[in-house]
Amino acid sequence: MADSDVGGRTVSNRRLIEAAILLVLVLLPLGSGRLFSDFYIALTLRILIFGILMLGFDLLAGYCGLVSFGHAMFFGTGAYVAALSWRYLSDSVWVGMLLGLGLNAVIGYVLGLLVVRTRTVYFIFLTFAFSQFFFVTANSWRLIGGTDGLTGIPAPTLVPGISLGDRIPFYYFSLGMLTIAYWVARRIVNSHFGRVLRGIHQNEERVKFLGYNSPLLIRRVFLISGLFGSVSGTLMACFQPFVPPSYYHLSLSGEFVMMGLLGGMGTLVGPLMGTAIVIFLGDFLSTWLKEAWMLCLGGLYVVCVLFSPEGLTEIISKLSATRLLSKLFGRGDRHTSGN
Amino acid sequence: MLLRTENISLNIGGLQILRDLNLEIAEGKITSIIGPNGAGKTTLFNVITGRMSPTRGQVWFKDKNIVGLSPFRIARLGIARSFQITNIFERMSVFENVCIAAQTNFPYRSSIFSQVSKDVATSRKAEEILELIGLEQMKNRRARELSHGDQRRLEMGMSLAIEPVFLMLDEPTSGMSPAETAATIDLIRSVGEKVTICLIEHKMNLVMTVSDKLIVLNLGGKITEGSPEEVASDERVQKIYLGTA
Ligand SMILES: Nc1ncnc2c1ncn2[C@@H]1O[C@H](COP(=O)(O)OP(=O)(O)OP(=O)(O)O)[C@@H](O)[C@H]1O
Ligand SMILES: [Mg+2]
Repeated sequence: MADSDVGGRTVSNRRLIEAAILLVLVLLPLGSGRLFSDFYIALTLRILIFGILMLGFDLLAGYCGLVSFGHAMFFGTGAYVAALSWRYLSDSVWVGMLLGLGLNAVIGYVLGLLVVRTRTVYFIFLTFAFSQFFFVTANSWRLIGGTDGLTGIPAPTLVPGISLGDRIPFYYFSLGMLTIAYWVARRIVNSHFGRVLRGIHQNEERVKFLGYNSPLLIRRVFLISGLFGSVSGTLMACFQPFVPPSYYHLSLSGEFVMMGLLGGMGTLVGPLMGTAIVIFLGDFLSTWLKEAWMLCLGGLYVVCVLFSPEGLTEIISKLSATRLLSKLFGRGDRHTSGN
Repeated sequence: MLLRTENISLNIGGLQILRDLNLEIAEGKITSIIGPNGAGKTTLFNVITGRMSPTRGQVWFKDKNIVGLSPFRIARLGIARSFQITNIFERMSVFENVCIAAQTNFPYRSSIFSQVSKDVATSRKAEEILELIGLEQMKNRRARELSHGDQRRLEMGMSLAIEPVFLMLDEPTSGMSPAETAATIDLIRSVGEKVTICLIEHKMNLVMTVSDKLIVLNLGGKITEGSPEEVASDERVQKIYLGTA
Protein backbone atom coordinates (compact mmCIF):
# COMPACT_ATOMS: atom_id res chain seq x y z
CA MET A 1 0.00 0.00 0.00
CA ALA A 2 1.54 3.23 -1.09
CA ASP A 3 -1.11 5.01 0.94
CA SER A 4 0.41 4.81 4.32
CA ASP A 5 3.95 4.15 3.28
CA VAL A 6 6.24 6.16 5.45
CA GLY A 7 9.29 4.03 4.79
CA GLY A 8 12.36 4.74 2.71
CA ARG A 9 11.75 2.46 -0.29
CA THR A 10 9.20 4.66 -1.98
CA VAL A 11 11.40 7.65 -1.47
CA SER A 12 14.50 6.09 -2.97
CA ASN A 13 12.47 4.89 -5.95
CA ARG A 14 11.14 8.35 -6.45
CA ARG A 15 14.63 9.81 -6.27
CA LEU A 16 15.70 7.37 -8.97
CA ILE A 17 12.93 8.40 -11.33
CA GLU A 18 13.41 12.06 -10.60
CA ALA A 19 17.07 11.67 -11.52
CA ALA A 20 16.16 9.79 -14.71
CA ILE A 21 13.74 12.50 -15.82
CA LEU A 22 16.29 15.18 -15.04
CA LEU A 23 18.89 13.30 -17.08
CA VAL A 24 16.54 13.08 -20.08
CA LEU A 25 15.85 16.81 -19.82
CA VAL A 26 19.55 17.59 -19.56
CA LEU A 27 20.34 15.50 -22.65
CA LEU A 28 17.35 16.67 -24.66
CA PRO A 29 19.04 19.60 -26.46
CA LEU A 30 21.65 17.15 -27.87
CA GLY A 31 18.97 15.54 -30.00
CA SER A 32 17.60 18.81 -31.22
CA GLY A 33 18.04 19.24 -34.98
CA ARG A 34 19.15 15.59 -35.25
CA LEU A 35 16.39 13.46 -33.78
CA PHE A 36 13.69 16.10 -33.71
CA SER A 37 13.27 19.72 -34.64
CA ASP A 38 14.14 22.64 -32.43
CA PHE A 39 10.42 23.23 -32.11
CA TYR A 40 10.23 20.51 -29.47
CA ILE A 41 12.83 22.25 -27.37
CA ALA A 42 10.63 25.32 -27.44
CA LEU A 43 7.66 23.23 -26.41
CA THR A 44 9.63 21.64 -23.58
CA LEU A 45 10.72 25.07 -22.46
CA ARG A 46 7.13 26.15 -22.05
CA ILE A 47 6.57 23.11 -19.84
CA LEU A 48 9.63 23.92 -17.73
CA ILE A 49 8.50 27.53 -17.34
CA PHE A 50 4.87 26.86 -16.49
CA GLY A 51 5.95 23.90 -14.37
CA ILE A 52 7.54 26.29 -11.86
CA LEU A 53 4.26 28.14 -11.42
CA MET A 54 2.37 24.88 -11.14
CA LEU A 55 4.55 23.71 -8.26
CA GLY A 56 3.51 26.82 -6.35
CA PHE A 57 -0.07 26.36 -7.43
CA ASP A 58 0.01 22.84 -6.03
CA LEU A 59 1.30 23.98 -2.64
CA LEU A 60 -1.73 26.23 -2.33
CA ALA A 61 -4.42 24.23 -4.09
CA GLY A 62 -3.26 20.64 -3.73
CA TYR A 63 -1.76 20.69 -0.26
CA CYS A 64 -3.68 23.46 1.44
CA GLY A 65 -6.91 22.93 -0.50
CA LEU A 66 -7.35 26.51 -1.70
CA VAL A 67 -7.86 26.65 -5.46
CA SER A 68 -6.75 29.99 -6.86
CA PHE A 69 -8.40 31.20 -10.01
CA GLY A 70 -6.13 34.19 -10.25
CA HIS A 71 -2.63 32.81 -10.31
CA ALA A 72 -1.98 34.65 -13.56
CA MET A 73 -1.59 37.83 -11.49
CA PHE A 74 1.72 36.62 -10.10
CA PHE A 75 2.80 35.34 -13.49
CA GLY A 76 1.90 38.60 -15.25
CA THR A 77 3.56 40.74 -12.60
CA GLY A 78 6.73 38.63 -12.75
CA ALA A 79 6.78 39.11 -16.53
CA TYR A 80 6.02 42.84 -16.62
CA VAL A 81 8.42 43.81 -13.85
CA ALA A 82 11.27 41.80 -15.33
CA ALA A 83 10.67 43.13 -18.84
CA LEU A 84 10.63 46.72 -17.60
CA SER A 85 13.79 46.24 -15.58
CA TRP A 86 15.64 44.72 -18.53
CA ARG A 87 14.65 47.64 -20.67
CA TYR A 88 15.26 50.49 -18.25
CA LEU A 89 17.49 49.28 -15.43
CA SER A 90 19.86 46.48 -16.11
CA ASP A 91 20.16 43.61 -18.54
CA SER A 92 20.84 41.12 -15.74
CA VAL A 93 18.19 38.43 -15.48
CA TRP A 94 18.70 38.41 -11.71
CA VAL A 95 17.72 42.05 -11.27
CA GLY A 96 14.46 41.47 -13.12
CA MET A 97 13.76 38.29 -11.24
CA LEU A 98 14.41 39.81 -7.82
CA LEU A 99 12.31 42.89 -8.56
CA GLY A 100 9.48 40.63 -9.73
CA LEU A 101 9.79 38.54 -6.60
CA GLY A 102 9.82 41.69 -4.48
CA LEU A 103 6.65 43.15 -5.98
CA ASN A 104 4.90 39.80 -5.94
CA ALA A 105 5.84 39.36 -2.29
CA VAL A 106 4.11 42.65 -1.55
CA ILE A 107 1.08 41.63 -3.63
CA GLY A 108 0.98 38.20 -2.02
CA TYR A 109 1.22 39.73 1.43
CA VAL A 110 -1.46 42.39 0.94
CA LEU A 111 -3.92 40.24 -0.98
CA GLY A 112 -3.23 37.41 1.44
CA LEU A 113 -4.71 39.54 4.21
CA LEU A 114 -7.93 39.71 2.22
CA VAL A 115 -8.23 36.27 0.64
CA VAL A 116 -7.52 34.55 3.95
CA ARG A 117 -11.01 35.50 5.08
CA THR A 118 -12.52 33.26 2.43
CA ARG A 119 -12.51 29.57 1.64
CA THR A 120 -13.65 27.29 -1.20
CA VAL A 121 -15.74 29.00 -3.88
CA TYR A 122 -15.35 32.44 -2.33
CA PHE A 123 -11.62 32.03 -2.47
CA ILE A 124 -11.91 31.22 -6.16
CA PHE A 125 -14.06 34.30 -6.80
CA LEU A 126 -11.84 36.64 -4.85
CA THR A 127 -8.59 35.51 -6.45
CA PHE A 128 -10.30 35.77 -9.83
CA ALA A 129 -11.51 39.29 -9.06
CA PHE A 130 -8.03 40.44 -8.06
CA SER A 131 -6.36 39.06 -11.14
CA GLN A 132 -9.07 40.67 -13.27
CA PHE A 133 -8.13 43.96 -11.66
CA PHE A 134 -4.54 43.42 -12.78
CA PHE A 135 -5.70 42.54 -16.27
CA VAL A 136 -7.80 45.68 -16.64
CA THR A 137 -4.99 47.83 -15.27
CA ALA A 138 -2.37 46.38 -17.61
CA ASN A 139 -4.77 46.61 -20.51
CA SER A 140 -5.42 50.30 -20.02
CA TRP A 141 -2.16 51.62 -18.63
CA ARG A 142 -0.31 53.30 -21.50
CA LEU A 143 2.99 53.44 -19.67
CA ILE A 144 3.31 49.66 -19.82
CA GLY A 145 2.00 49.36 -23.34
CA GLY A 146 -1.74 49.15 -22.76
CA THR A 147 -3.46 46.62 -25.01
CA ASP A 148 -0.29 46.02 -27.00
CA GLY A 149 1.69 45.13 -23.92
CA LEU A 150 5.46 45.45 -23.86
CA THR A 151 7.24 44.57 -27.08
CA GLY A 152 10.82 44.35 -28.20
CA ILE A 153 12.10 43.40 -24.78
CA PRO A 154 15.88 43.08 -24.78
CA ALA A 155 17.24 39.64 -23.96
CA PRO A 156 18.71 39.60 -20.43
CA THR A 157 22.07 38.14 -19.58
CA LEU A 158 22.79 35.42 -17.08
CA VAL A 159 26.24 36.81 -16.41
CA PRO A 160 27.96 39.39 -18.56
CA GLY A 161 28.68 37.65 -21.86
CA ILE A 162 26.03 34.93 -21.67
CA SER A 163 22.79 36.08 -23.23
CA LEU A 164 19.61 34.27 -22.39
CA GLY A 165 18.36 35.22 -25.85
CA ASP A 166 20.30 32.16 -27.02
CA ARG A 167 18.25 29.01 -26.88
CA ILE A 168 20.72 26.64 -25.22
CA PRO A 169 21.77 28.80 -22.25
CA PHE A 170 18.15 29.74 -21.70
CA TYR A 171 17.07 26.11 -21.79
CA TYR A 172 19.56 25.12 -19.11
CA PHE A 173 18.79 28.20 -17.05
CA SER A 174 15.08 27.32 -17.08
CA LEU A 175 15.78 23.68 -16.31
CA GLY A 176 17.97 24.81 -13.41
CA MET A 177 15.21 27.06 -12.09
CA LEU A 178 12.63 24.29 -12.31
CA THR A 179 14.96 21.89 -10.52
CA ILE A 180 15.52 24.38 -7.73
CA ALA A 181 11.79 25.12 -7.55
CA TYR A 182 11.02 21.41 -7.32
CA TRP A 183 13.59 20.94 -4.59
CA VAL A 184 12.21 23.89 -2.62
CA ALA A 185 8.61 22.73 -3.07
CA ARG A 186 9.51 19.21 -1.98
CA ARG A 187 11.21 20.56 1.12
CA ILE A 188 8.20 22.68 1.97
CA VAL A 189 5.87 19.72 1.56
CA ASN A 190 8.02 17.66 3.89
CA SER A 191 8.45 20.41 6.47
CA HIS A 192 6.43 20.83 9.64
CA PHE A 193 4.65 23.64 7.84
CA GLY A 194 3.76 21.25 5.01
CA ARG A 195 2.26 18.79 7.45
CA VAL A 196 0.07 21.50 8.95
CA LEU A 197 -0.98 22.59 5.44
CA ARG A 198 -2.31 19.10 4.78
CA GLY A 199 -4.05 19.32 8.11
CA ILE A 200 -5.72 22.59 7.13
CA HIS A 201 -6.88 20.97 3.89
CA GLN A 202 -8.47 18.05 5.68
CA ASN A 203 -9.83 19.69 8.79
CA GLU A 204 -9.00 23.30 9.50
CA GLU A 205 -11.00 23.41 12.69
CA ARG A 206 -8.93 20.60 14.21
CA VAL A 207 -5.76 22.42 13.27
CA LYS A 208 -6.96 25.53 15.09
CA PHE A 209 -7.87 23.64 18.23
CA LEU A 210 -4.40 22.10 18.28
CA GLY A 211 -3.02 25.61 18.58
CA TYR A 212 -2.12 26.58 15.02
CA ASN A 213 -2.85 30.03 13.67
CA SER A 214 -4.24 28.68 10.42
CA PRO A 215 -5.01 32.05 8.77
CA LEU A 216 -1.39 33.05 9.19
CA LEU A 217 -0.22 29.80 7.61
CA ILE A 218 -2.65 30.24 4.72
CA ARG A 219 -1.29 33.72 4.10
CA ARG A 220 2.19 32.29 4.14
CA VAL A 221 1.48 29.59 1.58
CA PHE A 222 -0.42 32.07 -0.59
CA LEU A 223 2.63 34.32 -0.70
CA ILE A 224 5.06 31.49 -1.36
CA SER A 225 2.82 30.16 -4.08
CA GLY A 226 2.82 33.58 -5.72
CA LEU A 227 6.63 33.67 -5.71
CA PHE A 228 6.78 30.50 -7.80
CA GLY A 229 4.42 32.20 -10.27
CA SER A 230 6.66 35.24 -10.34
CA VAL A 231 9.75 33.29 -11.38
CA SER A 232 7.68 31.60 -14.03
CA GLY A 233 6.51 34.95 -15.45
CA THR A 234 10.04 36.32 -15.46
CA LEU A 235 11.27 33.35 -17.46
CA MET A 236 8.41 33.77 -19.91
CA ALA A 237 9.37 37.41 -20.52
CA CYS A 238 12.79 36.08 -21.38
CA PHE A 239 11.49 33.29 -23.62
CA GLN A 240 9.24 35.52 -25.71
CA PRO A 241 10.40 39.13 -26.06
CA PHE A 242 6.95 40.56 -25.53
CA VAL A 243 4.59 40.72 -22.55
CA PRO A 244 0.91 41.08 -23.44
CA PRO A 245 -1.81 41.96 -20.90
CA SER A 246 -3.26 38.52 -21.58
CA TYR A 247 -0.60 37.20 -19.18
CA TYR A 248 -3.06 38.40 -16.54
CA HIS A 249 -6.07 36.92 -18.22
CA LEU A 250 -8.62 34.61 -16.70
CA SER A 251 -8.08 32.05 -19.45
CA LEU A 252 -4.48 31.59 -18.32
CA SER A 253 -5.51 31.21 -14.68
CA GLY A 254 -8.12 28.72 -15.84
CA GLU A 255 -5.48 26.77 -17.72
CA PHE A 256 -3.45 26.47 -14.52
CA VAL A 257 -6.45 25.03 -12.73
CA MET A 258 -6.95 22.59 -15.60
CA MET A 259 -3.29 21.53 -15.54
CA GLY A 260 -3.51 20.91 -11.83
CA LEU A 261 -6.73 18.94 -11.95
CA LEU A 262 -5.61 16.85 -14.92
CA GLY A 263 -2.38 15.72 -13.32
CA GLY A 264 -3.77 15.28 -9.84
CA MET A 265 -3.06 17.86 -7.18
CA GLY A 266 -1.25 17.43 -3.92
CA THR A 267 1.56 15.40 -5.44
CA LEU A 268 3.85 18.07 -6.99
CA VAL A 269 4.55 15.62 -9.82
CA GLY A 270 0.90 15.56 -10.89
CA PRO A 271 0.62 19.23 -11.82
CA LEU A 272 3.92 18.96 -13.69
CA MET A 273 2.43 16.10 -15.72
CA GLY A 274 -0.72 18.11 -16.22
CA THR A 275 1.38 20.98 -17.54
CA ALA A 276 3.17 18.72 -20.00
CA ILE A 277 -0.08 17.21 -21.22
CA VAL A 278 -1.91 20.50 -21.67
CA ILE A 279 1.02 22.06 -23.51
CA PHE A 280 1.83 19.08 -25.75
CA LEU A 281 -1.75 18.17 -26.43
CA GLY A 282 -2.72 21.79 -26.83
CA ASP A 283 -0.09 22.17 -29.49
CA PHE A 284 -0.94 19.06 -31.49
CA LEU A 285 -4.66 19.39 -31.23
CA SER A 286 -4.77 23.08 -31.96
CA THR A 287 -3.11 22.56 -35.35
CA TRP A 288 -5.89 20.18 -36.39
CA LEU A 289 -8.82 21.38 -34.42
CA LYS A 290 -8.07 25.07 -34.08
CA GLU A 291 -10.25 26.49 -31.33
CA ALA A 292 -11.99 23.22 -30.59
CA TRP A 293 -8.95 21.73 -28.89
CA MET A 294 -10.02 23.17 -25.58
CA LEU A 295 -13.13 21.05 -25.97
CA CYS A 296 -10.96 17.95 -26.28
CA LEU A 297 -9.06 18.96 -23.19
CA GLY A 298 -12.37 19.37 -21.43
CA GLY A 299 -13.32 15.88 -22.60
CA LEU A 300 -10.07 14.45 -21.30
CA TYR A 301 -10.72 16.18 -18.02
CA VAL A 302 -14.19 14.67 -17.76
CA VAL A 303 -12.74 11.21 -18.40
CA CYS A 304 -10.22 11.84 -15.66
CA VAL A 305 -12.86 12.88 -13.20
CA LEU A 306 -15.03 9.90 -14.04
CA PHE A 307 -12.27 7.38 -13.58
CA SER A 308 -10.38 9.08 -10.85
CA PRO A 309 -11.18 12.25 -9.00
CA GLU A 310 -7.53 12.61 -8.13
CA GLY A 311 -6.31 13.06 -11.67
CA LEU A 312 -3.89 11.19 -13.90
CA THR A 313 -1.46 10.35 -11.14
CA GLU A 314 -4.14 8.22 -9.57
CA ILE A 315 -5.02 6.47 -12.84
CA ILE A 316 -1.36 5.70 -13.35
CA SER A 317 -0.90 4.45 -9.84
CA LYS A 318 -3.83 2.12 -10.37
CA LEU A 319 -2.34 0.43 -13.44
CA SER A 320 -0.28 -2.52 -12.32
CA ALA A 321 1.81 -2.42 -15.51
CA THR A 322 3.23 0.85 -14.31
CA ARG A 323 4.28 -0.24 -10.84
CA LEU A 324 7.40 1.77 -11.09
CA LEU A 325 5.51 4.92 -11.88
CA SER A 326 3.09 4.22 -9.12
CA LYS A 327 5.99 4.27 -6.72
CA LEU A 328 6.86 7.68 -8.02
CA PHE A 329 3.37 9.04 -8.02
CA GLY A 330 2.21 7.06 -5.00
CA ARG A 331 -0.35 9.14 -3.24
CA GLY A 332 1.44 8.44 0.00
CA ASP A 333 2.94 11.87 0.34
CA ARG A 334 -0.43 13.45 -0.03
CA HIS A 335 -1.88 11.85 3.01
CA THR A 336 0.96 10.71 5.15
CA SER A 337 4.42 11.88 5.83
CA GLY A 338 5.70 12.36 2.31
CA ASN A 339 9.47 12.49 2.76
CA MET B 1 -8.76 27.28 40.81
CA LEU B 2 -7.42 26.50 37.38
CA LEU B 3 -10.51 27.71 35.53
CA ARG B 4 -13.48 29.75 36.64
CA THR B 5 -16.47 31.01 34.69
CA GLU B 6 -18.24 34.12 35.85
CA ASN B 7 -21.89 34.70 34.91
CA ILE B 8 -21.54 33.11 31.50
CA SER B 9 -24.68 33.57 29.44
CA LEU B 10 -25.27 32.79 25.80
CA ASN B 11 -28.30 33.79 23.79
CA ILE B 12 -28.84 32.68 20.23
CA GLY B 13 -31.82 34.06 18.35
CA GLY B 14 -33.82 34.81 21.47
CA LEU B 15 -33.06 31.44 23.02
CA GLN B 16 -31.08 31.43 26.21
CA ILE B 17 -28.72 28.51 25.81
CA LEU B 18 -26.50 29.20 28.82
CA ARG B 19 -27.76 31.03 31.91
CA ASP B 20 -25.48 32.83 34.35
CA LEU B 21 -23.07 29.96 34.82
CA ASN B 22 -20.62 30.29 37.68
CA LEU B 23 -18.38 27.26 37.64
CA GLU B 24 -15.05 26.36 39.15
CA ILE B 25 -12.61 23.73 37.98
CA ALA B 26 -10.05 22.79 40.61
CA GLU B 27 -6.49 22.08 39.58
CA GLY B 28 -5.48 18.42 39.49
CA LYS B 29 -9.04 17.13 39.79
CA ILE B 30 -11.42 15.38 37.44
CA THR B 31 -14.62 17.38 37.10
CA SER B 32 -17.57 15.97 35.19
CA ILE B 33 -20.39 17.90 33.64
CA ILE B 34 -23.63 16.00 33.37
CA GLY B 35 -27.15 16.83 32.32
CA PRO B 36 -29.82 15.73 29.86
CA ASN B 37 -29.57 16.15 26.10
CA GLY B 38 -29.59 19.79 25.08
CA ALA B 39 -28.61 21.00 28.55
CA GLY B 40 -25.81 23.13 27.10
CA LYS B 41 -22.79 21.02 28.01
CA THR B 42 -21.15 21.09 24.58
CA THR B 43 -22.02 24.76 24.23
CA LEU B 44 -20.21 25.47 27.50
CA PHE B 45 -17.12 23.71 26.09
CA ASN B 46 -17.44 25.79 22.94
CA VAL B 47 -17.50 29.00 24.96
CA ILE B 48 -14.49 28.01 27.05
CA THR B 49 -12.41 26.99 24.03
CA GLY B 50 -13.23 30.06 21.96
CA ARG B 51 -15.44 28.39 19.40
CA MET B 52 -18.35 30.59 20.51
CA SER B 53 -18.40 33.94 22.31
CA PRO B 54 -20.66 34.29 25.32
CA THR B 55 -23.26 37.07 25.28
CA ARG B 56 -22.15 38.00 28.79
CA GLY B 57 -19.62 36.85 31.32
CA GLN B 58 -15.99 35.94 31.70
CA VAL B 59 -13.87 32.82 31.64
CA TRP B 60 -10.83 33.01 33.87
CA PHE B 61 -8.00 30.61 33.17
CA LYS B 62 -5.15 31.02 35.65
CA ASP B 63 -6.35 34.56 36.37
CA LYS B 64 -6.47 35.51 32.70
CA ASN B 65 -9.76 36.33 31.03
CA ILE B 66 -9.82 34.21 27.89
CA VAL B 67 -13.14 35.37 26.45
CA GLY B 68 -12.54 36.81 23.01
CA LEU B 69 -9.33 34.90 22.35
CA SER B 70 -9.34 32.79 19.21
CA PRO B 71 -9.31 28.99 19.58
CA PHE B 72 -5.66 28.63 18.63
CA ARG B 73 -4.58 31.10 21.33
CA ILE B 74 -6.64 29.29 23.94
CA ALA B 75 -5.14 25.98 22.81
CA ARG B 76 -1.66 27.46 23.20
CA LEU B 77 -2.43 28.38 26.81
CA GLY B 78 -2.64 24.64 27.38
CA ILE B 79 -6.35 23.95 26.99
CA ALA B 80 -6.95 20.91 24.80
CA ARG B 81 -10.32 19.52 23.84
CA SER B 82 -11.86 16.60 22.06
CA PHE B 83 -15.16 16.86 20.23
CA GLN B 84 -18.47 15.09 20.67
CA ILE B 85 -18.38 14.20 16.98
CA THR B 86 -14.98 12.70 16.26
CA ASN B 87 -12.72 15.34 14.80
CA ILE B 88 -9.52 13.92 13.32
CA PHE B 89 -7.53 14.03 10.07
CA GLU B 90 -9.21 11.16 8.31
CA ARG B 91 -6.88 10.82 5.35
CA MET B 92 -3.69 10.96 7.36
CA SER B 93 -2.11 7.98 9.03
CA VAL B 94 -2.74 7.48 12.73
CA PHE B 95 0.90 8.34 13.37
CA GLU B 96 0.63 11.60 11.42
CA ASN B 97 -2.49 12.55 13.34
CA VAL B 98 -0.58 12.33 16.58
CA CYS B 99 2.54 13.98 15.11
CA ILE B 100 0.70 17.08 13.93
CA ALA B 101 -0.44 17.52 17.52
CA ALA B 102 2.88 16.54 19.11
CA GLN B 103 4.97 18.93 17.03
CA THR B 104 3.14 21.89 18.61
CA ASN B 105 5.39 21.43 21.63
CA PHE B 106 8.43 22.57 19.69
CA PRO B 107 9.42 25.99 18.37
CA TYR B 108 9.58 24.62 14.81
CA ARG B 109 5.94 23.48 14.95
CA SER B 110 5.04 25.27 11.71
CA SER B 111 8.48 25.97 10.29
CA ILE B 112 9.13 25.81 6.56
CA PHE B 113 12.79 24.98 7.02
CA SER B 114 12.60 21.95 9.31
CA GLN B 115 12.05 18.49 7.87
CA VAL B 116 9.63 16.13 9.59
CA SER B 117 11.72 13.10 8.64
CA LYS B 118 14.58 14.41 10.78
CA ASP B 119 12.38 15.31 13.74
CA VAL B 120 13.12 12.61 16.28
CA ALA B 121 11.59 14.49 19.20
CA THR B 122 8.10 14.63 17.69
CA SER B 123 8.24 11.02 16.56
CA ARG B 124 9.28 9.90 20.01
CA LYS B 125 6.48 11.87 21.63
CA ALA B 126 4.00 10.42 19.12
CA GLU B 127 5.16 6.85 19.80
CA GLU B 128 4.72 7.48 23.51
CA ILE B 129 1.15 8.69 22.99
CA LEU B 130 0.31 5.78 20.67
CA GLU B 131 1.49 3.36 23.32
CA LEU B 132 -0.56 5.17 25.96
CA ILE B 133 -3.77 4.98 23.91
CA GLY B 134 -2.98 1.46 22.71
CA LEU B 135 -2.88 2.21 19.00
CA GLU B 136 0.76 1.46 18.27
CA GLN B 137 -0.26 -1.48 16.05
CA MET B 138 -2.43 0.84 13.96
CA LYS B 139 0.31 3.39 13.49
CA ASN B 140 0.42 3.28 9.69
CA ARG B 141 -3.28 2.84 9.07
CA ARG B 142 -5.29 5.72 7.76
CA ALA B 143 -7.33 7.29 10.52
CA ARG B 144 -10.60 6.77 8.67
CA GLU B 145 -9.99 3.01 8.56
CA LEU B 146 -10.08 2.75 12.35
CA SER B 147 -13.10 1.55 14.27
CA HIS B 148 -15.26 4.19 15.92
CA GLY B 149 -13.82 3.46 19.34
CA ASP B 150 -10.25 3.65 18.10
CA GLN B 151 -10.97 6.96 16.41
CA ARG B 152 -12.25 8.35 19.70
CA ARG B 153 -9.08 7.17 21.42
CA LEU B 154 -7.00 8.69 18.64
CA GLU B 155 -8.68 12.02 19.15
CA MET B 156 -7.98 11.83 22.85
CA GLY B 157 -4.38 10.99 22.01
CA MET B 158 -4.12 14.09 19.85
CA SER B 159 -5.41 16.22 22.70
CA LEU B 160 -2.86 14.63 25.03
CA ALA B 161 -0.03 15.08 22.55
CA ILE B 162 -0.15 18.85 22.87
CA GLU B 163 0.75 18.34 26.54
CA PRO B 164 -2.17 20.31 27.92
CA VAL B 165 -2.59 21.75 31.39
CA PHE B 166 -6.33 21.36 31.10
CA LEU B 167 -7.98 18.60 29.09
CA MET B 168 -11.64 18.86 28.07
CA LEU B 169 -13.29 15.67 26.82
CA ASP B 170 -16.74 15.72 25.26
CA GLU B 171 -18.29 12.28 25.73
CA PRO B 172 -15.03 10.39 25.12
CA THR B 173 -16.67 6.97 25.42
CA SER B 174 -19.77 7.59 23.31
CA GLY B 175 -20.45 4.67 20.99
CA MET B 176 -17.72 2.54 22.59
CA SER B 177 -18.12 -1.10 23.52
CA PRO B 178 -18.03 -1.94 27.26
CA ALA B 179 -14.46 -3.20 26.93
CA GLU B 180 -13.35 -0.06 25.12
CA THR B 181 -15.13 2.07 27.69
CA ALA B 182 -13.35 0.31 30.53
CA ALA B 183 -9.97 0.85 28.88
CA THR B 184 -10.80 4.51 28.34
CA ILE B 185 -11.78 4.96 31.97
CA ASP B 186 -8.39 3.59 32.99
CA LEU B 187 -6.74 5.95 30.57
CA ILE B 188 -8.64 8.97 31.88
CA ARG B 189 -7.72 8.01 35.43
CA SER B 190 -4.05 7.68 34.71
CA VAL B 191 -3.93 10.91 32.69
CA GLY B 192 -5.87 12.61 35.48
CA GLU B 193 -2.94 12.10 37.83
CA LYS B 194 -0.98 14.70 35.92
CA VAL B 195 -3.54 16.80 34.07
CA THR B 196 -6.69 18.61 35.16
CA ILE B 197 -9.62 17.07 33.32
CA CYS B 198 -13.14 18.22 32.59
CA LEU B 199 -15.41 15.54 31.24
CA ILE B 200 -18.85 15.53 29.67
CA GLU B 201 -20.42 12.11 30.12
CA HIS B 202 -23.73 10.32 29.94
CA LYS B 203 -22.58 6.98 31.33
CA MET B 204 -23.41 7.33 35.02
CA ASN B 205 -21.26 4.47 36.27
CA LEU B 206 -18.26 6.03 34.59
CA VAL B 207 -19.00 9.47 35.96
CA MET B 208 -19.55 8.20 39.50
CA THR B 209 -16.32 6.22 39.67
CA VAL B 210 -13.94 8.56 37.92
CA SER B 211 -14.96 12.08 39.00
CA ASP B 212 -13.86 14.13 41.99
CA LYS B 213 -16.65 16.60 41.39
CA LEU B 214 -19.88 16.75 39.38
CA ILE B 215 -21.61 19.76 37.91
CA VAL B 216 -25.23 19.26 36.81
CA LEU B 217 -26.66 21.40 34.03
CA ASN B 218 -30.22 21.60 32.79
CA LEU B 219 -31.72 24.03 30.28
CA GLY B 220 -28.50 26.02 30.26
CA GLY B 221 -28.42 26.62 34.00
CA LYS B 222 -26.54 25.00 36.88
CA ILE B 223 -28.78 22.77 39.00
CA THR B 224 -26.25 21.71 41.56
CA GLU B 225 -22.67 20.61 42.08
CA GLY B 226 -20.65 18.59 44.51
CA SER B 227 -19.08 15.21 45.08
CA PRO B 228 -20.62 12.25 43.20
CA GLU B 229 -22.34 11.10 46.43
CA GLU B 230 -23.85 14.51 47.14
CA VAL B 231 -25.13 14.92 43.62
CA ALA B 232 -26.52 11.40 43.43
CA SER B 233 -28.63 12.00 46.52
CA ASP B 234 -29.92 15.37 45.33
CA GLU B 235 -33.67 15.24 44.70
CA ARG B 236 -33.71 17.73 41.83
CA VAL B 237 -30.99 15.79 40.06
CA GLN B 238 -32.83 12.51 40.47
CA LYS B 239 -35.90 14.16 39.05
CA ILE B 240 -34.37 15.75 35.94
CA TYR B 241 -31.58 13.40 35.21
CA LEU B 242 -31.03 10.22 37.12
CA GLY B 243 -34.71 9.46 37.10
CA THR B 244 -34.72 9.27 33.35
CA ALA B 245 -31.42 7.42 33.02
N1 LIG C 1 -25.26 27.33 17.17
C1 LIG C 1 -26.45 27.10 17.75
N2 LIG C 1 -27.55 27.76 17.34
C2 LIG C 1 -28.74 27.54 17.92
N3 LIG C 1 -28.94 26.69 18.90
C3 LIG C 1 -27.89 26.01 19.37
C4 LIG C 1 -26.58 26.17 18.82
N4 LIG C 1 -25.75 25.35 19.47
C5 LIG C 1 -26.48 24.70 20.37
N5 LIG C 1 -27.77 25.08 20.32
C6 LIG C 1 -28.86 24.61 21.20
O1 LIG C 1 -28.41 24.75 22.51
C7 LIG C 1 -28.88 23.68 23.32
C8 LIG C 1 -27.72 23.03 24.01
O2 LIG C 1 -26.94 22.30 23.07
P1 LIG C 1 -25.66 21.48 23.49
O3 LIG C 1 -25.12 20.85 22.25
O4 LIG C 1 -24.75 22.35 24.25
O5 LIG C 1 -26.27 20.37 24.43
P2 LIG C 1 -25.55 19.17 25.17
O6 LIG C 1 -25.79 19.36 26.61
O7 LIG C 1 -24.16 19.03 24.73
O8 LIG C 1 -26.43 17.95 24.69
P3 LIG C 1 -26.00 16.46 24.28
O9 LIG C 1 -25.96 15.68 25.54
O10 LIG C 1 -27.10 16.02 23.39
O11 LIG C 1 -24.71 16.55 23.59
C9 LIG C 1 -29.63 22.74 22.38
O12 LIG C 1 -31.01 22.98 22.55
C10 LIG C 1 -29.17 23.15 21.02
O13 LIG C 1 -30.19 22.95 20.09
MG1 LIG D 1 -23.11 17.70 23.66
